[in-house]
Amino acid sequence: MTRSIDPVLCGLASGAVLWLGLLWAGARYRIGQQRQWVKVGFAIATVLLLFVPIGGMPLWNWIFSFCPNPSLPMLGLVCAGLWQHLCGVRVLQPADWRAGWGFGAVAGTLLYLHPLVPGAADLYYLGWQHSVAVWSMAGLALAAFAFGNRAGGFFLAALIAYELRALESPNGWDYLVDPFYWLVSLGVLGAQAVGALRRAWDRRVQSRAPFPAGGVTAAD
Amino acid sequence: MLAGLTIGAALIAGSDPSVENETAPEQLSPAAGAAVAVGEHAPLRRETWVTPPVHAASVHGSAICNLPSGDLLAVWYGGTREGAADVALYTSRLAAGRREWSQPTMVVDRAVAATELDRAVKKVGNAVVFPDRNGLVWMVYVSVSMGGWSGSSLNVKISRDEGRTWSESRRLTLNPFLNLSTLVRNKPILAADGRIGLPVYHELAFKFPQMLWLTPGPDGSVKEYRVRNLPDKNGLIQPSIVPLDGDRVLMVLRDRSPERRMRAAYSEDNGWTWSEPVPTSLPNPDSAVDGLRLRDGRILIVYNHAASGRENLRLAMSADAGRTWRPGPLIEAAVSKEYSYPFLVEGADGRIHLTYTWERKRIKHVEFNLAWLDRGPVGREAVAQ
Repeated sequence: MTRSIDPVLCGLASGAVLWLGLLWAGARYRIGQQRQWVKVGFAIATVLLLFVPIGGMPLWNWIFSFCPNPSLPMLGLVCAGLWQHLCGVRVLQPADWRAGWGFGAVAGTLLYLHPLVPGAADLYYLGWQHSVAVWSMAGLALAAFAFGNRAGGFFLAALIAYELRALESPNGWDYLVDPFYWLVSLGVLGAQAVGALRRAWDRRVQSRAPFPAGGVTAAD
Repeated sequence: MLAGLTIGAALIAGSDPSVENETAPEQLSPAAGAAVAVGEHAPLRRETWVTPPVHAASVHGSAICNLPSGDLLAVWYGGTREGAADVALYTSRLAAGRREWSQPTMVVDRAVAATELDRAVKKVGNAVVFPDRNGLVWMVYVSVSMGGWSGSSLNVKISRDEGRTWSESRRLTLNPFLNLSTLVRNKPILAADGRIGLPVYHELAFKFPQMLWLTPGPDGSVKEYRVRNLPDKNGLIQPSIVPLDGDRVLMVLRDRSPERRMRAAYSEDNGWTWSEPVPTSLPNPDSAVDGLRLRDGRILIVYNHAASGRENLRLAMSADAGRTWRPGPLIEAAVSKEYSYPFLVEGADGRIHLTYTWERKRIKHVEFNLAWLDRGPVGREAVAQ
């Protein structure tokens, strides 16, 4: 077992998430109106934050302690979001984002919750089997590309990272999904579902209104 | 592009370097260091202490192994109390032919583990040491980054000089959810193809035994590893495995269920797959057990003979591969005291070595031979399972 580049990957992922968070907060609170110097300032703040010692250890080390295997799809989504904020270039289309979040939610639910089902097969063990892992990642990439979905790039990246043993884990599934990606995916899909339900409800309420909007005027 | 990706995947999958690790080992081999038994007819039982009188306020979880040189190496953890921040793993050596253990050497504490693993470590715990077929000595130990023992992860250190110096710790990823909750307690089996089958267990939410298969690399590193669950064995932890004849292996387990009976499971393929564990005739007060196959084919186990409490420590033997057990000599007994976490190995000279936690104050070492075992105050009848 050679020492992996995992701490570096994890540091980059943590930095990208932090930077993205700062950019989002900047846009939300209209700090600097997303000017170039603000982006650079946030980047410097991100680096400084990652090295803030907490309990004798830098912040990135704490993040690595609890998330030592950041999955490639999560890294891809974070990088795509960051690129969009920094350069204004849309790397991913809405369908690509949906595929990314959908995969995270389904794969995470299967992998993390299947042990709760009595008698369920040990899905994690399959991830130790090289050929199963390779064909799964390649199959996901092929399926996504066949539908013109750029999320295929995440699965291809996962396959390359798996072959390079870039993460600490040698289990193929850890290259495809991680607990934080799973939870964020569930959160994003949940929020989208709530939004869709609310819009549907609003349309229903509107369609049932006794009078169309503006259809009633005050009596003289 | 799609065709290229398909061909590439086929080439990568076809070049699988670890396909041999996805099948059961063909046969087991004895641990390195085992030598020809020396026949002894006079009963022998000798006691000594692994830990010195003034060492740590609390010590626990000892394990020992035979080294290729004939020495014994012990590991345990000690500190102000179990799980405290100042707990460290210590080793000590009993040189062949000597009667006194060496002074404890601190191998790893939470600060060392944190530095070597590049991450937060809250505490360290159970450890085992064992030589592989090439004579390298492995230490697999528990560390916790968050929560209690159910938040444990396993780490490996390897020694090229029989435990005098150790490599840096390497973390094993054995669980998909934040790599939480894999612990170790007992000694491994060694397969003839070089693989090491280490019994481990999971504690978070569900408690069940697992087998960790480690493949050593040619350079003295961990080349491959994977863990196999034993499904639907909830409440059974700290598996101890004993190679029988042929491809059969016996597993005895600590029982955390209300039934409080020691359980036994069997493998017919050298530890790869396991039968459903069944209760044995022996009680188990939710405490660790360990087993050993004697050179005459009998199975020896050490355990707490009670439905609750760890106030006694006893031996038991089976002449029928663990189906029935004959209670053997009592090792310790005292009201309101704890004698626990026993560990058995057979020395190169055929004598049996037992270490255990003595009242949480010291690690005790008892050495005995088959003559003492057979002439000791054994139980009257075998108890059907």
